[in-house]
Amino acid sequence: MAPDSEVLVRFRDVEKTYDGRVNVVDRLNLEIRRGEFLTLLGPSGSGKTTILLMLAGFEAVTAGDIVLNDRSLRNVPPFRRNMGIVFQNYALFPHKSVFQNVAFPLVQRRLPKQAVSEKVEAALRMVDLTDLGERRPHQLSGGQQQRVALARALVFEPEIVLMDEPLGALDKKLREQMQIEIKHLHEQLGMTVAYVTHDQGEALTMSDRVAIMNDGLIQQVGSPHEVYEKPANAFVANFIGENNSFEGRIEGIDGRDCAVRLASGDIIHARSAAARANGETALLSLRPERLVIGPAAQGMANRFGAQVVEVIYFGAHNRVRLAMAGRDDIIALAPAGAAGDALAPGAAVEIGWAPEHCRVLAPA
Amino acid sequence: MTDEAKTAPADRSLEAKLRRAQRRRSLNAFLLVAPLLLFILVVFAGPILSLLYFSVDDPKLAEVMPRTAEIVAEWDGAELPGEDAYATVVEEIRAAYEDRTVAAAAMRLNYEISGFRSMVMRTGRKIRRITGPPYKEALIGLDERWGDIAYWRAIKASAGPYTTRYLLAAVDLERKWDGSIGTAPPERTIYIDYLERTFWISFWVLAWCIAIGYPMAYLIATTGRRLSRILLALVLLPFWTSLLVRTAAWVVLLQNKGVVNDSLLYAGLTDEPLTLIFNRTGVYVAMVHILLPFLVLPLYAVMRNIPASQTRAAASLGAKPVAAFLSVYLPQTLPGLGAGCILVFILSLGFYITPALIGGASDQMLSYLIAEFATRTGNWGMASAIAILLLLSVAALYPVYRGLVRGAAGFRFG
Repeated sequence: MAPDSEVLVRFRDVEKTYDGRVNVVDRLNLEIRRGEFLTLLGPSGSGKTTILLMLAGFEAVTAGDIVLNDRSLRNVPPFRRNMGIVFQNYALFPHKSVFQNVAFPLVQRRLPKQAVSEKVEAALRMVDLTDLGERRPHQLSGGQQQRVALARALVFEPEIVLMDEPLGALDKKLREQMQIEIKHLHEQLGMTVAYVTHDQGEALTMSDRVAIMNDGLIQQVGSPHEVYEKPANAFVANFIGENNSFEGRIEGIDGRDCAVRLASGDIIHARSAAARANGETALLSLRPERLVIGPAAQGMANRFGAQVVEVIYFGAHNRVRLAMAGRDDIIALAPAGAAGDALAPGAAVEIGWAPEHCRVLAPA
Repeated sequence: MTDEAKTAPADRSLEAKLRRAQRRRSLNAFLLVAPLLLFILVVFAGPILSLLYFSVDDPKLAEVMPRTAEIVAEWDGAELPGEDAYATVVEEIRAAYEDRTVAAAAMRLNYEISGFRSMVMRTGRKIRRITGPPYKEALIGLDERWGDIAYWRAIKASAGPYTTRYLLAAVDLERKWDGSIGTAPPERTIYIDYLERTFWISFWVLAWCIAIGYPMAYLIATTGRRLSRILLALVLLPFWTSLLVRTAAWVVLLQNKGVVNDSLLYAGLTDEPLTLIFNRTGVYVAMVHILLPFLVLPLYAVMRNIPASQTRAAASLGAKPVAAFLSVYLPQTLPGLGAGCILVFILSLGFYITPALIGGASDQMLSYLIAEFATRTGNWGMASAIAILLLLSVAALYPVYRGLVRGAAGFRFG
């Protein structure tokens, strides 16, 4: 746990249920640190948006408490929470101009006219919309509307900015561009951001920390690197990125290194985060890009003969499906180039990977 | 041969084909629409045009006493007409009395001066007594009012074939004998009163409809699906019964020994029955009930399309509930509110049955006068003129509606 001074928002044993039977959010203990970019990542229905709505004050907390700056938010109405929110559909006011939209939070705070127009202009400059102040939202493109929503959520310098799948409606190229822009804005302004998405790529690119949700429970919280390289459980391993999973029994332990025997009889050397005992069943996770094909596999602790089943060309790399250890669904990413291009279905190849790249997951 | 050379002539014939196809399609479309167009012309434009015509048409006197009409049309009206005018009148009243057509002309003259009808009829009865000139003295001898220039001016005003008297009367004006326009005598200046009352009643009905309908539409648009369906059904239910039935139901409910009064008495809220019927209160209650759906439905349609995130966004940006409503929600509902208001107001301007059954004498609206003139006194000119007054009042509201909707809807939904 981070020291209190660094924590802006703290969820304490928060629960939320709509029907009184199933908790949409269960035993939520999470802190959002001052100035960080925290992403709530999970499939739809995992409760991530509900967390954001409770933080914003639009949904009541069933049990537990949310604390902002050491003050409980229990009796604070949404309009006093001072949080900037970017909604999924932007929720721009259609009857107001871009300028009026961005000025809205300042007008509500009764700032003098001069200050309002200065701040609005600065905010519009920040998101590159200087000349579009007089337009109505419907006259703007999706990306421009997104920027207006961003400017409106930032212009009053809120304690924290909440974003609920803000890029969901944009096409891929624009989405990637906006991801970088939002990241830069965050770096420049240093505001705290709580970001909700179901797009793992987005979460990895933008966040300082990612909280992965499933079925109302937080599965893992950590830096993008941590959650990708060291998934805490099978759900995280499968949800983020591609994953080859193996199931077997632990037959030898040396510190954190385990030898795991698969049903096929093959032994895989892997590394565990937690202490494990001999004889336990273990779930292994191996990222496709860590699997090496061909001569490079020589000298690796895990080395197997395999057969190429399918090669799919992706431009920058080839996605290779391999058969080994009695299975035919092992995926490897081979960089485009001499080695990868030479692969053809049916070819016998040697594959291998290092034990530190193959994780023994905690039992689910 | 190059590709271009090959395709160029083909292109031209293709264009011609396309044009032909489009012409054929628009002709087909027109033929399909033609019956509807005809129907609209006959059913909508026809009555309005005939209304306009009836309000200025004035053939009665000229039909019965054509030569008299001609003579008074030339007469300047400054002083009593000469002997020939009297002679013509005597001759034509005599003929008309025998043909039994004099009553129609007498009725028309009565519109100008009340009492003129009986005067003409009496003259007709006694016309046998006049046997020869001088007709002027003879006629004045029969009834001295024939010597009053006002009656001759009335004949001049009725000479037709067209008149502005009905249209002027509908706004409490009349044309004086010298052609100037002035206010009508007090006993005839009732129409502006009726117009004002009609607007006033409509205004209050609208105000009540907004006060009740706006929160209702909001509730229907924002509540859970089941409750919203039930509420919507309740709003629509009255549409399934006829206006007359609903009005009659209110008579039953509101009368002194009706359900409402009995309940109030039983609950001890009042010691004696309240007068809820045959006064303005009853009219308001019944009209608001009947017109409420016309406000609720367009409002509901607009409100349903305003996402919840709009008010949430306003709140998150620091707007207190009232400010969020006034600056974000209300402006977005204005197109629906405007449409609903115009519907309610225009419909209530034309209300007839409800005030007639539930209201007292001082609660009747313009439509009552129209019905009165058309069915009781058979004065189609006056009925048409008032109908036109009503039509123009409604037309005058159109720019208001346009302004309201355009002012609010400088944006599109979606």
